[in-house]
Amino acid sequence: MTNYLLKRLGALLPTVAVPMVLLFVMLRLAPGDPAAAIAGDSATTEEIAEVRGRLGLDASLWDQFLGWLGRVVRLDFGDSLFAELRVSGLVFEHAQVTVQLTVLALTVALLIGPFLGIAAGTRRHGLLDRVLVFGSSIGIAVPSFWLAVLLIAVFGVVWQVFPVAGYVPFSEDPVLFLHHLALPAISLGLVEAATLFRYSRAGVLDSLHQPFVTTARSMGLPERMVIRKYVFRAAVVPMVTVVGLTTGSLMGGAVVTESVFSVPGLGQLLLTAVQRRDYPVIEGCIFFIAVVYVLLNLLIDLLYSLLDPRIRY
Amino acid sequence: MHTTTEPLLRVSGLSARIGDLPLVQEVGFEVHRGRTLAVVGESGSGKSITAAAVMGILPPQITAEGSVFFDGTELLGEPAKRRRARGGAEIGYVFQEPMSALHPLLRIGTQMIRPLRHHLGLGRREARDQALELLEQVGLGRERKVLDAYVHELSGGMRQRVMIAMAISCRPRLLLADEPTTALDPTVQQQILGLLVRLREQLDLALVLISHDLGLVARHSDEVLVMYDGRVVEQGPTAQVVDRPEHPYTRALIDAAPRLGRRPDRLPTIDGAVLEQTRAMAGGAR
Repeated sequence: MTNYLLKRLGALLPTVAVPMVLLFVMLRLAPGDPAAAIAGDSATTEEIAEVRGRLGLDASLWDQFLGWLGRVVRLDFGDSLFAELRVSGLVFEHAQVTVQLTVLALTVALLIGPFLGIAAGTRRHGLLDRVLVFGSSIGIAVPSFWLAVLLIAVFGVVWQVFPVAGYVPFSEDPVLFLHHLALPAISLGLVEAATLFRYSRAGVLDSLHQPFVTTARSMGLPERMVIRKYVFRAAVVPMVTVVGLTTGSLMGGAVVTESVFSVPGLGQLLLTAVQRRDYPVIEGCIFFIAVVYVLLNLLIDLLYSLLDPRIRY
Repeated sequence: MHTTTEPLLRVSGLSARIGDLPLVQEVGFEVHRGRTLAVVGESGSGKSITAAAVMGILPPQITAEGSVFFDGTELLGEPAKRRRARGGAEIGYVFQEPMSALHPLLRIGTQMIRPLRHHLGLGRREARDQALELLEQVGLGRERKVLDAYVHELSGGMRQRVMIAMAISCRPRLLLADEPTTALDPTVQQQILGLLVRLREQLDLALVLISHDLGLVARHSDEVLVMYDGRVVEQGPTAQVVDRPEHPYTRALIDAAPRLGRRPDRLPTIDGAVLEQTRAMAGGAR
């Protein structure tokens, strides 16, 4: 187990290093020049060159890379090109918001998805099942930002029960915090709930007639208990993967949804940084997202071994 | 004598079908407490369907009709809840593959304790003690280790012993064992059959032993029922059926068993096989 953990953590290095190097190269090969953006629209060629020199962007790609590498291995991503702000601070600040939004969205998804999945799976072809399957198809097909706009229109504009945009830190006012994040969390969570619903329904259908479930029935246990303790127990394992991947993609920053609601999360930070070619900030964001992804995958695998005694590392 | 009293289980005119396809037709037999009935036939002959129909655990797409008269009550047509409640408490079922019949993600103890608490109203502690007792009864000793184990950690023989311990745990009067030894090594097969027969005596059970191997169960049964293509082709006291088989299928079944010191060139076959079903499937069913 300890060996396995060490091995997996060791693999973290190349898994994160490869995309980072690729990112470095791609950013600098891509069209667009941060120096031009900083110098402004009316800047002369000389002024742009001056800015470029100040940022160290006039050095050869190789020299830039060596300098970059030296800093990145020390986890130093430098400052934003556009503001006197440390990248680490920026990423940390925005990631906090994204983590909060992710937790809320996951809560919504987990409260709805698996529960309805069991209900539908155990009543296959019933009215409830058909309605839910149809509903989940819509949920999967609809992009969360479209749902976001719809929710804003209904709850923000027509009924005015939720604010249409903005963010209040939890430390400032927990109630307002929830109030502001409710709509984004619901729009993200509902879409994930639809996926979770599909997986849990399929899992229930799959295990409903497994021999070990028949055994539980043959022992005279009531159907409710059979479903809850035997069927669901078997169906829950594959769902861990789905939840893990969902968490991963939510942590990457729900870029569009965050924009729609003006939530200052990682997605927004990344979007602005890409638009301005703010290299260090992009690199910091991607680094954070990559590390989170790798750690989440590790966590999923560990959870698997916890949930399924046949899996041992 | 047991035989003079009412049989514990009397099955008559039992048929099962999936859509229009008959799987079991007009099966009838009786079992008394303290006695063993062997149900013999090849794969697809309807043995397991018959047992599942008695137990009430047929897959939803299979329907059964006829009569399953158990201890003074007709079971077919009984409300599902009543029927379910008899499982474990009145009728025990031993499955062919303990590996898949036991939950892969739950500890053996958990699986044994739930029915004990449900049927016998035992507390957690008592149920656990009772489970240990049962393990001892099936020859596994009072091993806490077994209770804490998962099914994949046990050997084939241990798994089937656990399965049997569970099946008898809530004191059923009838035990249905569906090919209980097929998944096991030959030496273990004998041990498990011996165990079932010993438990039948100790607990005064009526035992229905399903097998494709007439030679194996002949020694352990009082009566034999031979099934072929969903029908009963021969039934009677074991000794009589084995010594003087009347039906050609029974004879073929006996000849097909490999015997020490005899090397058959080809195993005997019988015309007709399970053709009727195959034909019906190709024609009618999806």
